[in-house]
Amino acid sequence: MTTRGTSALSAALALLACLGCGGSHETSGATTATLHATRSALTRIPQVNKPPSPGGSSFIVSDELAGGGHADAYCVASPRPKTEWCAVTVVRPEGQVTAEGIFVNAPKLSGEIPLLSGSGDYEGVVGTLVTSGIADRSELVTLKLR
Amino acid sequence: MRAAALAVLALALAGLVTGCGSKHSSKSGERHGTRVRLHIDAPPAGASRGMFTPIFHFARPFESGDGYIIWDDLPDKAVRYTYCVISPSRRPHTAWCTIVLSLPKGQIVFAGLNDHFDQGRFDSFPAVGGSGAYVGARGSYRALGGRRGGFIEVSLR
Repeated sequence: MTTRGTSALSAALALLACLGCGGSHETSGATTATLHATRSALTRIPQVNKPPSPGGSSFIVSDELAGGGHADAYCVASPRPKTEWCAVTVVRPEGQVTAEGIFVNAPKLSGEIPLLSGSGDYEGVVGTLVTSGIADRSELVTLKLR
Repeated sequence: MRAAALAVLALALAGLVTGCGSKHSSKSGERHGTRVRLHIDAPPAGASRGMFTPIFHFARPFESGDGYIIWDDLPDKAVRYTYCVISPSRRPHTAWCTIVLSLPKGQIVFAGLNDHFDQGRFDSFPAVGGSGAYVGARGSYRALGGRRGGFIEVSLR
């Protein structure tokens, strides 16, 4: 990420903190922002012709973020016990970031997964997305960005 | 065509799942300058925790839009998780896939198209990110699996 991009990102995250939708801080080039998310909708996606083996069920969930924006997640249950793959995108007025990975504590789905990249003010960022629980009605999402 | 592909896929994936991540696998990491290489041997089919699960959305199985999951446990409590959706491409064995390697030091995510899903083979599959020790991971994943064994090779820069 460019210096300009870093500055813009820091400014955006500082603004988020001022709006009361979470905290942010920056240490040695890394920026962390915590966002409060509240579930607005969840759709379970049924399987037709379901095989006898477990796994394969999926859902998509949408959360509203305090201060503006939303976070949507698409998750697919694994036949591996307690394991679920999720792709999570957080959309803010300044841009969006996408994270993807597996959680091994289903159905809670809390922990950290790789944050792959972003757009707008988040263009080129990498890092980690930490969630308190994708399946929860109220969730804390922390973005640890580099 | 689909039925034949399904039969080959089931055979290939059975070998891939049972052949990877058994107790006999070995894993080594090698640094060359800024590059990191991980090599995980996949021994012949044997006792290993893993499973192949198809995901069907239509009346006929393995239509485009259907998917499948493969997971297998690797040494050091690592896990490989593969999720694919079959493409409507004219190529008969193309699927969009994402692979997550969950390793002791973090996760590495790969995503792209696999033109050989019937063979359980991945050639030059792109790394798109990681967490923990692998934040911002870029590089390639290559895997060959079968009843006679195979390997996983990850090259990161």
